[in-house]
Amino acid sequence: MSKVFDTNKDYKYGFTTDIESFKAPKGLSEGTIKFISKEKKEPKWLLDWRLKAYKRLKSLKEPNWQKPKYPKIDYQDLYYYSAPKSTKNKPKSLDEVDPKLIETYKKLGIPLDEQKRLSGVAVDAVFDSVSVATTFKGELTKKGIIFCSISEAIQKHPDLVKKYLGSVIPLTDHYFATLNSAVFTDGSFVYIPPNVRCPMELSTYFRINASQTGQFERTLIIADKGSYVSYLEGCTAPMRDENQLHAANVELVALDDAEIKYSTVQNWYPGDEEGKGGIYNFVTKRGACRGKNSKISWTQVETGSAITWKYPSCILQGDNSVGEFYSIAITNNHQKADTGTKMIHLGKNTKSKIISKGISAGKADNTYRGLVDISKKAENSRNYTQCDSLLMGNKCGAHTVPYIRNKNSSSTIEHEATTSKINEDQLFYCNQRGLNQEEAVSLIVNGFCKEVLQQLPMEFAVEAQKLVSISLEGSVG
Amino acid sequence: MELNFKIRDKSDKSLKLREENLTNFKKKGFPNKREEDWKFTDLEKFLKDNFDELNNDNLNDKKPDFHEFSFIHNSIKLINGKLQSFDFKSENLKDKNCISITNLDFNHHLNFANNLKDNPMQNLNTALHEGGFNLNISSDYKFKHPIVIYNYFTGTLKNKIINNSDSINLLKNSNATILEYLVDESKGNFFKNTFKYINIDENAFLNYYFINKNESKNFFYEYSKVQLSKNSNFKKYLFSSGIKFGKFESNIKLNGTNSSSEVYSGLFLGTNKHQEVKTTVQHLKPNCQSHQDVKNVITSGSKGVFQGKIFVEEIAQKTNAYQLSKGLLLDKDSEFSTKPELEIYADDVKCSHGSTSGNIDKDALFYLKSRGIDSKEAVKMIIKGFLETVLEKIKNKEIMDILLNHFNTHIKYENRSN
Repeated sequence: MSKVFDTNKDYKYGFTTDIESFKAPKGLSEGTIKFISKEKKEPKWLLDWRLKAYKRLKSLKEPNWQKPKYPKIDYQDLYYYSAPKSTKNKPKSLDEVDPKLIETYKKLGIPLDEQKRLSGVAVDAVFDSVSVATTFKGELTKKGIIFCSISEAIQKHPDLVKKYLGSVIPLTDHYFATLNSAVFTDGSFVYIPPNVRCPMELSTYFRINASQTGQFERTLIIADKGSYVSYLEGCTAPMRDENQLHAANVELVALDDAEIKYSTVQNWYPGDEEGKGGIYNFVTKRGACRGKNSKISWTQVETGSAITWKYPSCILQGDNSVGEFYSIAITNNHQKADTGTKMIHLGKNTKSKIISKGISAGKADNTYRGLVDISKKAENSRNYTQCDSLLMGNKCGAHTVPYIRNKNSSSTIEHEATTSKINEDQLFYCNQRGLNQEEAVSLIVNGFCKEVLQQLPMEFAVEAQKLVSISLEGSVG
Repeated sequence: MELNFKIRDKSDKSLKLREENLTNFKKKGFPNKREEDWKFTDLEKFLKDNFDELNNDNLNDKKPDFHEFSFIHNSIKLINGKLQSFDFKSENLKDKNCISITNLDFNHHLNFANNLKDNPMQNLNTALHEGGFNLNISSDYKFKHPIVIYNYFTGTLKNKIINNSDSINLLKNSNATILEYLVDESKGNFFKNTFKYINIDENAFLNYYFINKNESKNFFYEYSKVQLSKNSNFKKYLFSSGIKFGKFESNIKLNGTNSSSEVYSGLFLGTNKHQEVKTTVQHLKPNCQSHQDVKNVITSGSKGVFQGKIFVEEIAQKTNAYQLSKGLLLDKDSEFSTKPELEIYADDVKCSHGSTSGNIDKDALFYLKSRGIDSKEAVKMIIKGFLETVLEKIKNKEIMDILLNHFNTHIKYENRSN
């Protein structure tokens, strides 16, 4: 996959900016935060909230316990707000885009118009999907579902935002989450009213102007009593992106009997084969199962980024609530991933399930790190964890670091982890039936990941399957 | 908590080193839960809650009566961590040089300690080091009978800290079975901080058992560093039930091809106990094997902890490593925390771990009850069965008898809820 980007020189700290359209000064300060808030015409409470986060940030230190180390980030050298870019720097047509990139798109079966959008080709305002989006919007409004950018929600639904923003990831959280609280620019907002089942998979794709959410994305999803929503983030195709550091916050709230399904496919620029460049994906994702019988399910396919460092978590507060985490993390070349989940059982009869598949090739490092914590009051709770790692080649690493705490005798925890390479008998079997080495590996790896791929929504699953194979191209033999 | 640590060894050579180490220790202090290695065992808090003062004052306690086992064995006797006497008569040695045992002096201790400079417990151990034993077994010598280390604690050990270190060195083709038998008859309270350095040369093997005799209200921290060469084997069996606070750390380096290590532990943690078993196994050469099996039965306010790490270096292909940790929680106040870790850099390996915790299986209990066994007896059977996988590895009959005694003393289960 990394071959695709070999000519890309834009991935440096900060981002290439179009001076004319840019207004915020460089660096992190109260001034920058006030500027962002003013630009976005935010109410005073939100500005105060941001400033409080900034104050807190100053007393925090950047964490350094993670496995992948990265060069020091100069936070004063970053731009924190940029108005929408002009089309000056963008390629004019697909002919100007790296042909290898186009080839990948073709392999994934992505339609032409979408290819243009993904590769950052300046397209006309009338875009195929726009009309599609408006039709969908009508249907959603009829059901009372709110699906808009968080900036819009702050203006139009301040009560909801005020009530839930920061209620799952508080201001006092860790460094990157607090940084996000201080300077977040945009993201999605979803509210599903009581007893409504969202009729379609919600995706950032259908939100107009979604491509410019910036590096400090903030997403808030609220599923009211008895509702259901499935949300898709990202896209199987490699995305053109100008920011190196991504510190997003995603908060999910599920009330009584509600269910949220959150699926992510992340395929950002992983850096070149020597490990230069690439995106730092430091994301905080957390869901609170506040109500009884609520359910939050995270599914992620992480194939891109130079460093992926995230732990989508579930706080199981409500009795009988359920948390699930399905993950595939593929690292190739010099990519590094440190990902996993936290399942915090607080309510009675809470259940959680963790299935994690890590695949490491080239010189990559892949770590599963997770916490299962069953508190004293979480009677009859249950956790099942399975993390499997596959190593391809002897230059890569696979690591498992689970923390398991059981403070309640009526609760049960089961955890298992394995690390191995592709079974030679399996490879031989496939070869014997006429598959070449690459096809065989692809087939076996897809089988290895099947449990997780099954959790993805249909359209996504097909693409993700292809993505798994493509991500490992060149790592065999 | 007041720390009254005095360096009593005033010889020019060591004084400076000891002072340096004490300063280093004081800078860091006793480890607490903010440190990753001590995440589940907050030593600082435990000591603060249980000691008003810690001192290393000299003791003049008279020799206790050693109750020796009746089976034929060799013995090493330690009183409050210091070597008292030894006896290898049962071996009928023709060549007396086959086995040597001496007091481990400070200089010898430094040879090992220098590698662990970052560890504050090691700093403290070096600063206040007061001896231990140094056992050497010559090449080709194979012990006919087991060695029992009677580890006695006597007298009024009030607010006392004991810092000692032991060294065991097995040369080529030798082997030995060692049973460390802990007998705590002290009054008062103490904290023991021990470092063990074990070296096993080519084709040698060592079986090391640790069994605790009676209930002890004292605090034990032990760090064992084990180094294995080609075709060597190390087995450790840990039965420390009855100790109020224990952290037993083993750092095992498989530094020769075809070497293997096994660690087994079966614990019954009764009232208000806290015990941690921590293992780090480093696979540094190809074709090595390691196996760990840790079982904890936890009840009445006790807490069991297991931290295990398997590390496989790039060149250590064909590694086979397995780790199992299980906690059986009998009542509401019990807690089991684990961190089974894998760090793997070689691809042709088989590494896995499993960890479970939970209550007694209701179906199993029902099965036994429906066959006329009363519930108290049934629970006992289930506990026994739970620990069985660890016990069945023990081939030595005498040690097995001691162990069964040990469990009879320590498995005290009050049938409260079922």
